[in-house]
Amino acid sequence: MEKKIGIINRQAPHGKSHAREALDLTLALSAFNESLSIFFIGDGVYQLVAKHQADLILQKDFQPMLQMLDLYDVEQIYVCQMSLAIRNISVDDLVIKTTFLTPDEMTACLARQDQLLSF
Amino acid sequence: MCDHQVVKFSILVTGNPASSQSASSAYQFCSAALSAGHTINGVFFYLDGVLNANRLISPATDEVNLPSLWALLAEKHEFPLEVCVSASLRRGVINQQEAEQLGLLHHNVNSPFVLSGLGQLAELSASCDRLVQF
Amino acid sequence: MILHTVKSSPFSSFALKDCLKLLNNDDKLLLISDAVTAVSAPVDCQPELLKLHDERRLFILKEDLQARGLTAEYGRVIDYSDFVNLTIQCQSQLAW
Repeated sequence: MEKKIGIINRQAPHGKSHAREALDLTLALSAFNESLSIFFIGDGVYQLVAKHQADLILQKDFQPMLQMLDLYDVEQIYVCQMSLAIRNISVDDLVIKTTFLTPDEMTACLARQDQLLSF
Repeated sequence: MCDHQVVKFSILVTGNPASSQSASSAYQFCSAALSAGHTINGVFFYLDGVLNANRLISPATDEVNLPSLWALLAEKHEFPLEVCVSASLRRGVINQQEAEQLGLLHHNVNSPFVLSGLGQLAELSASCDRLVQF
Repeated sequence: MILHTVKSSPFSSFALKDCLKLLNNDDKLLLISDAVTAVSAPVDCQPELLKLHDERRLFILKEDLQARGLTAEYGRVIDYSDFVNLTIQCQSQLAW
């Protein structure tokens, strides 16, 4: 049976390349594995805040690529509700449709994955 | 799964060998796994981990040369060192074929490190018993 | 069952705190690299770490402790071969 892979995004965007390169990896893996789940926790939730203007700081705007997750049939996208609340981010501010999880739900969801990749 | 079975590991390395301990930890983990009789399916280098493949890395003589340790371990135990090509190109880690295609005068990746696509990570993920990231 | 490996010092990073928030009842925690500092001094999350210690779910990598001249006040100190076994005992690993 195909392994369930969880990809965990923990870093704020643009300061480091983790967000962009984790997304590259996610889109690439989706061609080989249909059981991907994507998690945004901690500062990773900043990756989802709409209206990035990354060109102002000579970085690549990866948000159009985030919107491609749907086209690539990556539909299990989970966001830590508590991480959003702590950072004063409203669920209406996010650039893609996601499922919001409490820490307990997040824990249960992580436990169902066969492999975890963390960025 | 119990301790005495032979386990197939795939390893993901994301740290710069010169400025973080991540790649050293991965190397020590691989050595320990092999000593215990397990196998390494392959090591995939991503993010700054691709810098492990740069053969121009020349640490001082009293420092550890991690890229050469990787090469020795991989050759001895016959596992691949797969380096993500897109992460590599943006960090100046280039093999001969890419250098020719891009019209670059130089290249700095030698066997046993090979530049490969993220499909190889998918393959290493699918074929292992355990995936361990550093 | 997940083996969580944390590598950053709790004095400079939230990785350990974030990890503890998502730790399941049977998950294990291994401190490696700079994160070994967590068991050599009183840190904010010490109550959670002591609870894990009591439940035999807290491990510290010996080489990383010794390399930094530190000793663990609690938790089980293990070597790389034990680390390998932990990854086998757990279903998956999450690197923080």
